[in-house]
Amino acid sequence: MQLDKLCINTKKRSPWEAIDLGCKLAINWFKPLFLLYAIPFYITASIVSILCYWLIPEYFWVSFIGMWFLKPIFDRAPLYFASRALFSEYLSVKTVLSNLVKINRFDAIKWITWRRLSPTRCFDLPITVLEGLTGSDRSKRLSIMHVRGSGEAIMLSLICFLSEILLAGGLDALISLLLPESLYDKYSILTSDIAGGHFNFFILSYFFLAPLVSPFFVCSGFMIYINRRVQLEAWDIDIQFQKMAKKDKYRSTGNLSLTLASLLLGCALFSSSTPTLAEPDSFDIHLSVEEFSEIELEDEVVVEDLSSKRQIYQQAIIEIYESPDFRQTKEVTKWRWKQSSQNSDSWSDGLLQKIRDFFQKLFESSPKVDIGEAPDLNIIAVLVKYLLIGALITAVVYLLNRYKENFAFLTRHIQWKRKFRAQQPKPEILFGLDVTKENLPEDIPQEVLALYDQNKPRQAVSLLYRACLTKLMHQKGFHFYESQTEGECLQTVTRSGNQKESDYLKKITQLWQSVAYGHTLPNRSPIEELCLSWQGVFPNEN
Amino acid sequence: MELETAFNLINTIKNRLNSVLLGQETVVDEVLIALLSNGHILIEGVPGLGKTLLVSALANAFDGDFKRIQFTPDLMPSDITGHVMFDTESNKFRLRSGPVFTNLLLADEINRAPAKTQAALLEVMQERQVTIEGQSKPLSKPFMVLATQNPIDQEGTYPLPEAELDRFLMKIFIDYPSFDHELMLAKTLTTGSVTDQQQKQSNDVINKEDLLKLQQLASEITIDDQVVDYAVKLVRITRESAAIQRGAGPRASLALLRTARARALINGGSFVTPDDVKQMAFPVVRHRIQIAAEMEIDGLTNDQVLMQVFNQVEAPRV
Repeated sequence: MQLDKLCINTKKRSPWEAIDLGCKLAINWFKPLFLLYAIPFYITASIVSILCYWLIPEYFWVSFIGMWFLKPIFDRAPLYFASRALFSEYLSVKTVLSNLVKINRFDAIKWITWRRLSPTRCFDLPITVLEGLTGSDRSKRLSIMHVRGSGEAIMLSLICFLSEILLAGGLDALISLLLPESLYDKYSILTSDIAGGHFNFFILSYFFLAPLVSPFFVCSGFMIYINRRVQLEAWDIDIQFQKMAKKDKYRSTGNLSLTLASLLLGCALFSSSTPTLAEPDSFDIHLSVEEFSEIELEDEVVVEDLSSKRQIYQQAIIEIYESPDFRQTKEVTKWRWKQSSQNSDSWSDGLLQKIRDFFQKLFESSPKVDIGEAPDLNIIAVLVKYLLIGALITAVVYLLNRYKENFAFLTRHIQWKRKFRAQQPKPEILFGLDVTKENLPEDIPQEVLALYDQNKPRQAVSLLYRACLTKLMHQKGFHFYESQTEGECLQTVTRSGNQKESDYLKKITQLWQSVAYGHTLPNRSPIEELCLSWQGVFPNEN
Repeated sequence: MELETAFNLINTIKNRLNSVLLGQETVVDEVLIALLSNGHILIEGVPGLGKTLLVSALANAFDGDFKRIQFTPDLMPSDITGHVMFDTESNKFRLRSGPVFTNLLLADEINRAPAKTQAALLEVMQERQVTIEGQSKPLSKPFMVLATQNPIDQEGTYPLPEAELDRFLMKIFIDYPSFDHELMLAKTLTTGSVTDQQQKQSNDVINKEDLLKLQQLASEITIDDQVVDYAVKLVRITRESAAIQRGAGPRASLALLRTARARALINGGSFVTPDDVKQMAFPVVRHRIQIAAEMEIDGLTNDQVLMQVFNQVEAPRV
């Protein structure tokens, strides 16, 4: 399962949003979904109708009941297509139909008999069809999946059923109203002359129109299922980490760190979830879409395969935990609260001792009221005390937030943040230019002027611009992206509020653009001026 | 025409328009870019922001002809293009030219007319000619359609078909002015005037010949191969991204380069930079794409999706 190929935006959605998304996808893929449902459905419906009409014309409604029970069989092919299309793999209708028997082999009898009455069929079908679960594994999986979304799945089933009935009734009524009188006799063959009256024609209308609703039913149910898996398995976080890993291609150790970070986060996520969500079974069950073609395996084989996979995964996790990356030791020196079980009165001297004494005196010196044997008043007094403390803390937090600009330590924090950013690894190549410090000459202004004097003005300006960006990134802590144009880089620097740097970059950018895009040869004087100002803007180097 | 003269002339028009439409400098710039690029423009904004005022102000600053069509549900194609009628006095068929035979055409509330009427503009906008009774008649030069539409109050409106949207060089948004500008506007229009209409400034700033020269000059602005490459990449990525269901066609690439050239000119530049291209990519591409279903459900606008997509394209560096 390649999550990066998902054609939807993975994020936490409510089940109704998932249904909405399912409807949109059904509209997008309507033609293949409709054909995949309609072709086998129409063929079967024709056969069943003819047989009923021929054998038991008085009980033509039996065909309706029969087709209604068979509907889960027809849902599987559109579901198969949708599960592949979701991962940007668009199968042809012919390919899916050729696998129709394989798709329907697994648990088909159960689905057209007692499970047919399940109101959450659209939600449960992917668990059978895509994950290939049966027996107790299926039950466990269902109990996890049904924590959210099952109510909406029931509503969806109801809405789709009513839509089918309304559409069929509407078509029946439309034809009855618009049929010319001369043809009415022929029409009556299907209605009043045959037992069942209008109901027979209604059944045919139902057969004709049911495939129109089915793509929405299947896709919406499938999206509730996918939404639930996104919630349980944090696909959105996984995808974000994958994107981050791709972006940080210049970091030499970045990939390993990110992988470990994602593993850690993933483990933390599952370990901190409720037991229902974090059951090992639910985590390990990943028969997913790629393995869907193997659903012809017998139930026992599937369970054994899962168990072996689970062991492999658990072994892999243990190995990762045992690696040196999870066994790092470091010394940290900082103030921290001692355990209350230890000697709580042995607080160290200094500021903490003074604060503690202050609060102790404050509460001890407060007048004690003899409240006798009124325990309720004691409780109220304690509550009032804590309310007052809470109000005091809230007021302090509010004031700190209100006047945060006035506090010097916050300024220091901002400086620390900038320093931290500056310490982050910088890309070596940006905009196609080499922006490593190592590849810059020792004395940039001298080198620029030398290049100009060698009749290489373009290389001179290029070096100056490249060096300026490099210094801004490595020395001043700015971050530029590959998609940023020169103007956007300039905006980034201007927004930082440093007038000197932004003015300097503006001049260089103008010069660079006129050379690079305007194909003009620069004079020596502006280059000289920029070279002279270089030391003033980047004073610590060269 | 010299670059400096052109820049001064453009600045004069800009100042005139900005004095009429307060606080909408970006919109004014974009309208001028469309004018210099010899393209048509679709202006979208809620009622009362001065869309029609902007167009009439542009017409006032220009000595060419200006006509306005109020699109209504019962408007017919012949009401736009004209038709042939039988003159009983002369016993001859006579061509009655429609309002499209002008220099500046304001198509007000264009989405209020049905599709067949909107389609009458297809040939007008692309070929700049009108075919009536099998005879093609060219429109006068310069010719520009400025269409307006209202994003709210969609009842009884007809969305523009893709083919017609593609013929608009740019789609721009007009937003509410800032407090200061609205304050100034309120003071100006309510002092010594009994209507909300601004006083018409009689003197023309530019004539047809000058405008044609400016358009010619804009088309000759230098553009580096890498910048062309960047523009095409920006358009092409809209067809490759999964976030966009229907990307922009090659006409968008042409439009992007034309508008980037015009933007460089109105900024006084003699060459196009990647910034010009990226800035113009939004108004040029936003109406030519259809974002994917999930993006729509997530409430993302075309511009937000485009921002994400464009950020995947590396800016050119020599």
